[in-house]
Amino acid sequence: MNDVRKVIVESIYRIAEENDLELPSMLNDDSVLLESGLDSLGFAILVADLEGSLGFDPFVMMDEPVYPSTLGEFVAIYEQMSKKEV
Amino acid sequence: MLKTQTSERFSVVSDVGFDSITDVDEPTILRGLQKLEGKNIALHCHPANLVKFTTELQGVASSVLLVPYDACANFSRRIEEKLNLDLVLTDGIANVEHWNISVNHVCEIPDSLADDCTVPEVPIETQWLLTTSGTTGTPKIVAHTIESLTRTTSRSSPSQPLSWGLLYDPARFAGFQVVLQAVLSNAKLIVPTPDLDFEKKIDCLVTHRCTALSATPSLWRKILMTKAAQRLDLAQITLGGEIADQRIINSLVKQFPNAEITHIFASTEAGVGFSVKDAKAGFPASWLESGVRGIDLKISDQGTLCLKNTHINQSYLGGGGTIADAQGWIDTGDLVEIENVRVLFKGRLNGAINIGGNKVIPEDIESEILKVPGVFQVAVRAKSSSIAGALVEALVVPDPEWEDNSSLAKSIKQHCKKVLPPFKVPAFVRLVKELQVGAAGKVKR
Repeated sequence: MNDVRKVIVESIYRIAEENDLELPSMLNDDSVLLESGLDSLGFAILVADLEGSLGFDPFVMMDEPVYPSTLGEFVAIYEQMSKKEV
Repeated sequence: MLKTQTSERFSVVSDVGFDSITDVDEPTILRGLQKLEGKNIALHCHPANLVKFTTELQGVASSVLLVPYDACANFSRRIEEKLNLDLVLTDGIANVEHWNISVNHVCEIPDSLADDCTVPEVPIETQWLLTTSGTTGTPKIVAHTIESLTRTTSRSSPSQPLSWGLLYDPARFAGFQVVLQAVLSNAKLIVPTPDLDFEKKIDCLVTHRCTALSATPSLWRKILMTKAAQRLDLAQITLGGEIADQRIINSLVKQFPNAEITHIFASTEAGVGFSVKDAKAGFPASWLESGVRGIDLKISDQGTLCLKNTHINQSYLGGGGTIADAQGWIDTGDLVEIENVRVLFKGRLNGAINIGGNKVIPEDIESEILKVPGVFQVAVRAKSSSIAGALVEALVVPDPEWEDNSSLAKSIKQHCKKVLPPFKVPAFVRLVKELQVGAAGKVKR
């Protein structure tokens, strides 16, 4: 489970670095995604990037996608969907 | 027409009050606008004021160009080349420094302006000039009348009047449609300042009890990401500007079970298009036979959707040519396919990429990337995105003699960031050995 979280957090920092976005020094479960320094385009890049590294896109897999507000909710969606993948 | 149809129930609210622009009372300002009879005006204001002045200038001004709030020097220069404007009208909130022609504050319209106009014998039919988002940096200006824009707008006043939120710029086609919808149905219009944080914008809509909202599918996903969205109580949801897939429609049905969901197909070129209300992606294939509300539909040999609208007559201003062919068909350039009795949208014929409602021409980005030292060849294409509809991906063949490939992707992004708006900057740069070339010798995207 923690692997998914690790991949996501690493991806966020890498995308921020590549796109010159400023992130707060600490990201935690309560961090609000749209206020985290990733703008909505950055968020779209993150989801596409994770599809490359994790091999799935939960927002395509869900028939009624749920869109997360916080990092905790975002990670939970990926963790839940990674179980379905297996 | 607009003013006479505006009952006292139509109102505009914003996080910025009208008193923040002036000490002069509102009726005095609105009376001052009557001095602009017969003038050709560019209206560059805070969106809430733009809406208020719009309802006053209908039938008064000869033409009104609606200027996007964030318009910059490039925009005003192009507009001044194309149009013969009398003045720019502003409210002291929008940044108007880059205009070369005379700029007037709404509170300071000189009486002399009214002196040189003759009272027209017939009522003025104001031309409303809207600019397309301008894929090549040159805004294309399309002239409309209120009649052409509101032909299919519902004029009924629901028993419980709606309160429309405005998240688009009202100077853009999609935003102006929301404004007209609100005016003609005597609704309240809630206009958050464009510079607000997104969460605060949605919060502003909740505070003013927004019940109706129009957005692109990508913007809807962003709305659903906010905390404030859970407190929105919507009765009407409208999607437009991008392909509405079944998943976003499903998400909205779930989050707002009491709302009617309408997805609109409309392009600035085609004027008002048509709407679909059955909460299914695409539109019924039977409409290709029957048409829909005075619009005939057909699929061209190239697979694009064509519309024939018998009621409106439009042309580009400033030498853009006519829009319809000899039979009156307007080719929308949107590729469609029939799947299980539905006609589904599949993207643009010209390869243009739609990123959250912003149209991008791949060639525009390619020409910029080719300027970066170390780039030999490039092909820009869409990478499908479940969040933004599409993202820009650049396939780059490095110059064989270039030594430092490791930093090439970063240099490309940095260059693009300097010269292009954020949505055009490639989200992904992939270095490849060669590009695939099709039978006709063209690079495959």
